[in-house]
Amino acid sequence: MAHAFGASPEADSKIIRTKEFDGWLVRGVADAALVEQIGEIIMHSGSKSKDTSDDVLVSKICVALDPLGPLRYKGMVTNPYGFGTTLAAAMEAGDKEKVQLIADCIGRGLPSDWLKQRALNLSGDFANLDKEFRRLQQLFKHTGPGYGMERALYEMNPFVPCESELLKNDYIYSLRDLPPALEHIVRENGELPFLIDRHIAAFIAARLKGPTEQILTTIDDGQDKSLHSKLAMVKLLGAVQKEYGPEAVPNLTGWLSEELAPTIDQFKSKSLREELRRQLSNVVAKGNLSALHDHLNSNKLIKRDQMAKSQAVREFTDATAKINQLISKEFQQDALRTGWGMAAGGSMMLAVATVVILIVW
Amino acid sequence: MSGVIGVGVIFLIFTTIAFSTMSVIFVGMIPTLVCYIVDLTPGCYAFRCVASMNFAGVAPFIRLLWSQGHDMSSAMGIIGDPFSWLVFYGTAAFGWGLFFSVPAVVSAIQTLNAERRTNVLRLRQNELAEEWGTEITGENWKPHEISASPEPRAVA
Repeated sequence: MAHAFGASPEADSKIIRTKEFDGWLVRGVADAALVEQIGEIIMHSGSKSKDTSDDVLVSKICVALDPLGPLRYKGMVTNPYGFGTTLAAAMEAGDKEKVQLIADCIGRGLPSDWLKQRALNLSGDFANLDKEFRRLQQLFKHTGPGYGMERALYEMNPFVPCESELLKNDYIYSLRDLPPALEHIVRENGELPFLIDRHIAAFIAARLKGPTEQILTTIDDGQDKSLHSKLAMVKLLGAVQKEYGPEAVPNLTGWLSEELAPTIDQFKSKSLREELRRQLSNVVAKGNLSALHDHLNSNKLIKRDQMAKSQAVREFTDATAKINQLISKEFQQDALRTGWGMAAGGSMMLAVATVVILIVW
Repeated sequence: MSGVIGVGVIFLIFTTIAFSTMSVIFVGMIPTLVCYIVDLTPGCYAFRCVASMNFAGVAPFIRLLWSQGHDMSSAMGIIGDPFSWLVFYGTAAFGWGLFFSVPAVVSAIQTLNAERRTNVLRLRQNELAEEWGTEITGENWKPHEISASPEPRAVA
């Protein structure tokens, strides 16, 4: 029955929800635990939206009916152990439908359900694989560069080369080969056709040791082709260069410095902007991507610039208030009053001095 | 008004004790009396100037009166002497002179200082606008035209 359900999921979801199926389940299946399990699956699926629950319902019932069989989902019959290979083949062939099917399957957590059933019937350690599928499920919740199908491809296939369009003439199996390959493209063509690439971002995120989530979030936060996203991509490439070399990629750094030069305009201080532009050639000469990123987007400098701007605003406002006070009528009247006070004070002092002299003399 | 009455009462008491002295003071301080009537400045600065200087002019003649026996004939001698009148009115006039000239000079000095300071502040504003642009000045701000460059000095 699981085999038949797996072959035509649309029709089967209707059958499962009929009273006849309920009757057959009660009368025809001797295993009371299985009947109870299927009943619970059907009952719980009713609370979800119909589009989602029908496909998932069929898949879960197939797993319950055939716990040692493959995972069946919307006509796809496969063993989750082979998801990586299936995904790689589908992406290589450009089979978007199958890619989407695998994404849906992992995104809805079906491999975890499948593994749970398998663990009940077979001895073995399924915890690690389950943990891996749950991690992939989390990665599918993000849609930005460095996540999604591309990330799943590189996470599930440690030996797949980077499949970026930029690198179609190269075989980039290791991160060590990535910066030189990009450097070669820039040296040959003078530029990269585009900087933010989902495959490259995912390839780096999957292969690089250390956390990359914050950088990937920044790439995703900025709108496509925005300077912030590009800067974050440079940071990601800089992390690769720092970890794997080479020491200098001058052509890539030079092109990126031109591409990202407008980021200097984020600084409000004119003298700081001029200083940064003057120093940019020195940074480019070093060919260090991290240094380029830090030069264009130093948090310390941004903070200093903001503080200096706040101070300048205060100084400008204070100066305006002081000027207004100095040219006001009140100031003239104050000056006159001060003069009168000085005249009166001087007169009194003269009078007192006269009296004192007369008394003493 | 109560102040004037108080001064009047004190004057009357002193008149009964030292009539000759009070006669000289009354005649000698007539310019102060006139000034008190015509002074409209807030704080009565003109009165203060004229009264002080006028008293400084009368004081030597009171000392002279006291040294000559402090009698009515000596007092009349002082009052009848044109030189005494010249000193009374001369010192009162000097008080008026101080009242008119000192504020003008002080005001002129303060205005000059204010102009210098304003120029320094405007120059600084131009520098800030050049450095930070419309971020701090706003869109409609125009740079100040400063005729003479002021000496550099710290702005408080």
